[in-house]
Amino acid sequence: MSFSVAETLAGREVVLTGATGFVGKVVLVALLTKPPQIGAIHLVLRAKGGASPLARLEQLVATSPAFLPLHEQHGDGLGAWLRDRVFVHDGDLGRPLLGLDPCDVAALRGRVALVLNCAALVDFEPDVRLAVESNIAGPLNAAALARELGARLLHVSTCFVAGRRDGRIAEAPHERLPNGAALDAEGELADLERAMAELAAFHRSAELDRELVDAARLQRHARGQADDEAAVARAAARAKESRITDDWKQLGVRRADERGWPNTYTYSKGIGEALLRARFADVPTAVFRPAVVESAASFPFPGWNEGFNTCGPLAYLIGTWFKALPGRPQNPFDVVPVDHVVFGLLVAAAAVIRGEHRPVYQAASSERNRLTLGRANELTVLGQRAWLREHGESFVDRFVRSRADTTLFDDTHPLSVDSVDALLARTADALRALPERSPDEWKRSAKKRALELDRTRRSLRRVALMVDAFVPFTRDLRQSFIADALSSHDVEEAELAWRPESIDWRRYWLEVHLPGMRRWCFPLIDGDEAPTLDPPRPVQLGADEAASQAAQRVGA
Amino acid sequence: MPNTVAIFRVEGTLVRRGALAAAAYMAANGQGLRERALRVGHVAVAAPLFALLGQNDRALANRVTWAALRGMSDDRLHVLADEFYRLHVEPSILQSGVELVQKARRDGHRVVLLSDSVDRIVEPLAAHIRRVDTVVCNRLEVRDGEATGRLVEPVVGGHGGARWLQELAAREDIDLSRSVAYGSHGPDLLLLAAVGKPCAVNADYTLRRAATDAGWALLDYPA
Repeated sequence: MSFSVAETLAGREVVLTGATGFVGKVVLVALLTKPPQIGAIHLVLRAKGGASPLARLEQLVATSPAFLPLHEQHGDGLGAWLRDRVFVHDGDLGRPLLGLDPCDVAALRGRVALVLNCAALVDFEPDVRLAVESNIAGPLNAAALARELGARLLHVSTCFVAGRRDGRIAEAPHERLPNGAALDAEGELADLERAMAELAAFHRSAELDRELVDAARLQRHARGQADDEAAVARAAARAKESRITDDWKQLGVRRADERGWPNTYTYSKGIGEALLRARFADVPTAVFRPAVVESAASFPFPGWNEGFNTCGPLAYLIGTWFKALPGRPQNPFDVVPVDHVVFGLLVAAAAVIRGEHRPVYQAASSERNRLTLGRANELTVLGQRAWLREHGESFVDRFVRSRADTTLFDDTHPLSVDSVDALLARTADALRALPERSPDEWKRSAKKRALELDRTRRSLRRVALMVDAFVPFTRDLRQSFIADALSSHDVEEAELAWRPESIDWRRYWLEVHLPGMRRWCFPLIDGDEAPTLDPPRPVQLGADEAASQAAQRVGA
Repeated sequence: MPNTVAIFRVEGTLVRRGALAAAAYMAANGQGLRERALRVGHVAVAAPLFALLGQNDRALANRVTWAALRGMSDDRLHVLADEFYRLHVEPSILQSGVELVQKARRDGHRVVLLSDSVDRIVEPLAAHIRRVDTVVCNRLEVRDGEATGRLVEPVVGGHGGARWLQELAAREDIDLSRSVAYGSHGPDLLLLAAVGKPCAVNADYTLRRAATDAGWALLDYPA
């Protein structure tokens, strides 16, 4: 049966988490523009860096290009328009009921139709405590809030919760662990919490301190430095800090690997999904799994992108001298433009509110309009070629690098990251080891060059680490994700309908995605800031007593 | 639709460059140095065929030449054709030829471009010249995103242009006796002979001799 997304959402109130993220911002703007008569959007935001949640939202609306459609539509009246529709709540994913004020919860009971959980920690290998908080506790608290409010839940997950399962991935809950073992979500969480407690206890133990102090002392001895207890203590403290950071990271990585997930992110998202099923069977819930979310095809505007996404590091690397990537050219590269994902999310949201939803939606392109890694690589190479010809900084860029437009899939190629890195390291060492008799000037300039090489190596390693994180998908696995559930809904708005077939990859890649990444992502890799709205377009979303104002509105 | 045509042989009449240059350019910009060397070698082998068969079976020469692009990705062909068009075709458009097209339009003819080159290059040219009704040229066969190295039948280049024109005339009731054709090579002879108002533009030796003997119009402009 067909339905209209706009009519379904008209007058409805929605709780949205994660509105500051890449997908979340586009969701917020889409909720405000595509179904024009949405009742209210309640944003759950955290105070951060001394800025109140309201101030954060104001800052975001004023500076993020994602909000351009709203600025264009409402101009100076945007602040007043938003004040009637968007309500900011101080909250925290890791706390019960998302940390909302109990009065707010009471006021919202029975009014909210849907809790839309877009919040997630997308670092692949974060501190496992943060991953648990955002990706496991977050959805559970969102579901508890939905239950409390008498609302339904749409939870944004990721296709890659499939972990190391290979081949075609069904659009259904994963009933087992990716390694094939039985999945006991509660047991897994309890076990993880126990391991976390043990690690925390170990970090507090005198045993670790002794070990680190001994190591620091030995190191000073080895360097021939005099005994200095204060210096030893300082070194031990530093070592402890990095040890703790590393331990928390490794705990996640190890557990994920044992259970068949390639990283902590997908592991925590997977366990989060499983726990939602186990604990909230009574809350009508749909899980929405996008694949690799990339630049917008058209909304909020063509090419909009943000942060380090999957393609960013890969495309950046292809633009440099490195001519070998690890991967198999025939592997699917499951990219979906962010607006396709977000429009799909609106359709799913409407379906959930109507009670016609499927348990799982996958927003992926590999089954219906496959882009292979080889083709994505070729398109990237061709795009860089055209760009270097026109905008290359030097003769070498314009005439040599633009023509050296080849990238192969081969780890052992002489121009692979590892071999180039080794070569740079050897060159730097050689420059540092000039014979004593060489003129001072030579030594000075050699030292300078060596430092430059070190810098190059650092940014190279940074990109290489990002690329390594994708190796399970580019080389080891060959996953493709079934994505038919969204098309089972016959929506009246043609623009919102899920149609991955409509993506013309060549046009998208060369005219939209690459220019978008060049504008919004590459500056970050180079260590600069991404561009923001210039000049900023300030909006006032609250009165002077900002936070209380928002709370009052809810109470009213 | 007017029931007369003005048919233009692209190479020599509208642009200076021939199809061989396009194939060579694309071959020289394949993936990787080895692939480039092999493809360019292939085009180089095909080049003498143009000289040998130039007056006889250009279609075969075309087939051999474009086979050099076998296995090249559709994406690369698209980008390279676009590059070649912008860097080498557009700057070599012959303004006098474009004026001939405009005149043909004014005279009420349906304008047809005929070329040995491939659609990816000729179609942007037609768009640039504007008001071209039909483009007859070669097409690279693409399967699974890669060129197969074959041209889609019928291959343009031999004496087929004349047959195509006669079929068109029969199908769409075109009066060939009042139609115009501009040719520049020997293989255009049959084509020119098929219409009432033939014109040899910047003609090669064979065509020039034949045109002089037949008393056709001869036109030379700086190429």
